[in-house]
Amino acid sequence: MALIKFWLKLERTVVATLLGLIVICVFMAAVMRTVGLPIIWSVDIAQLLFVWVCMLGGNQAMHSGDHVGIDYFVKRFSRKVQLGIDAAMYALILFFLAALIVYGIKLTLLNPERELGAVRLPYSLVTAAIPLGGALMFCTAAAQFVYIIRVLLGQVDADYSLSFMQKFVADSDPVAPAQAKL
Amino acid sequence: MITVAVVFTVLLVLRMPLAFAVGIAGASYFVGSEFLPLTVAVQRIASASQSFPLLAVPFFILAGQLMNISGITTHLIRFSQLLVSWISGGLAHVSIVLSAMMGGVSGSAVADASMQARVLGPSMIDSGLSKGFTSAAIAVGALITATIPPSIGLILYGFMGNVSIGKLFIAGLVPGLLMTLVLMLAVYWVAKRRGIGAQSLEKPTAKAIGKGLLDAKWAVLFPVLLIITIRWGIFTPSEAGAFAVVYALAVGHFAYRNLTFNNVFRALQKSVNDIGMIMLIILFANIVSYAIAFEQLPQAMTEALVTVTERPTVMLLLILAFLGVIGMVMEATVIVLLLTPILVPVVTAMGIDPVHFGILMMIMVTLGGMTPPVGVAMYAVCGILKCPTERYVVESLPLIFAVLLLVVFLALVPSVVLFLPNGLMS
Repeated sequence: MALIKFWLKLERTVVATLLGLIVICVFMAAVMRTVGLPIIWSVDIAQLLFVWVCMLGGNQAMHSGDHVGIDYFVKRFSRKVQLGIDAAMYALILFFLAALIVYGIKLTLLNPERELGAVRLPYSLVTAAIPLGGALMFCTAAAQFVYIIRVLLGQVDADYSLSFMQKFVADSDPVAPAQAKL
Repeated sequence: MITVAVVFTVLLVLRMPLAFAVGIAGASYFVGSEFLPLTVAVQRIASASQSFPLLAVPFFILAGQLMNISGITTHLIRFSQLLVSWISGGLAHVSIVLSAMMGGVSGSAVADASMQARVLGPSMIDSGLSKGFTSAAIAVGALITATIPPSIGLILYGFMGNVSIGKLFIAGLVPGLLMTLVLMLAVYWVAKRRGIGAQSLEKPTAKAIGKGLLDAKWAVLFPVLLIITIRWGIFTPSEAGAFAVVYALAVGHFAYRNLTFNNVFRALQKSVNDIGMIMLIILFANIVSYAIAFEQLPQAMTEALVTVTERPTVMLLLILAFLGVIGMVMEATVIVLLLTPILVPVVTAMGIDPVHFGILMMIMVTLGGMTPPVGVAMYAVCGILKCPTERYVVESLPLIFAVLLLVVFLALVPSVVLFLPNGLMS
């Protein structure tokens, strides 16, 4: 548990740093071009980091239960039915992410010579973000899936204050509902 | 393609997270096809992430977060209060003017709505406005953010439909200001009918306004700088996004002295979640847009629509009505991502300017977020202010009606939208 917590914190710090670096890269490129000293590699680096921010950020959002869906219909069901539906959705997500990992690896290995714009870095550094980010999300989704299944089987008492469990809490319930984003 | 639509709808109804509903529906097209390998679907995700215009999305999300911690928001609230709290309807006007000014730096209507509900909402209710009306003014007022540049929705529209984002930004300015005016008129009308008074008793003097403007100068200056830099080609919209981040940091540090390393880093971390959520939807939607192009859906759609009517204006109004209905049941980002590649070729074939259409489309789909059954901005505001949906709905009607009138006007008179971008950028 402590290890997972450490990893999450590390991942969060890394993504936030990457995001800061992207801002610097793009801003610097724009300023240098305006003063007549263009740096060609700067934007390429920003693009490369961007795909990693997207995929790792996708995993962070999953941890916090920020990937919202439309709950207008499902909210009408009892909590038990909701948990059942969600378990099915998690199974589909896991299936989708598994495909993303497998075909992402295939794509990464497909064309090793391709280079990324002006920097002489392999393009596979971009594509690799997809299977790797997919794998991280797979772990997150799997852990949440197992938790929901165990709640359904009655093996653990559901803790609805967990961020990914808050969608099962109705507005009228005493625990504060997750604040809508997007 | 029908499979894709069915899979998508079923998953949505079952509360599949939007990103995965889009991704799985897109993948189902590749699985069902004999000659399309799934590696192409993954390739679509990678190639979307390498698009430079899309970089503007994380930048403006981050800039919005930084605005709140840098003190820009506080200064804008103070200035809005000074400007309009003397009009009948008081703080409701402040909320609307604040949306217009915030919209000049932040690009997300929902972020604006939830920020205002938290910061301004309680004092609005204390000032005697009903809960329903407070929520309605905040939520519908946030619609202004969606058109005033920078707007994340317009970035996505430009990206998916291959339309100049710079032009869209400049085109959004006049409609955004008109919407501010129209919403203020609607608030005024409601306030007068109910005898809701003003917040402050006297009009600010020109001197007080000048002083307030000076106090808020860094915040007010940003949208002006944005338009100037994009218009004269100093920055592309993405670079302007990076500039917005640096600007918010500089103002927060040098002018307002609010920033510490820790709260900047916290803003970065908070943005990461929002970026991860929205970017995953965008990247996965690129799988579906491949299927749309592969099936030549726009062509088929144009042919079908021409049989209904050949008059472009009627067609435009019909499409907008359709978007309004879809907007009520679907989240705005997803509609823009999925329907832009279909609709832009259709309207272009009809002789409608895609910049004109983009602004109207953005207003209609974002408005859907302010209405039930699926209204992200509405739920955000009502959730924070604990306002029952029914009361919100009743109170939002005059405001929504005012917006719809404006949309019809803008649809009938394209030059109101287009004179600025066509005059400034040719």
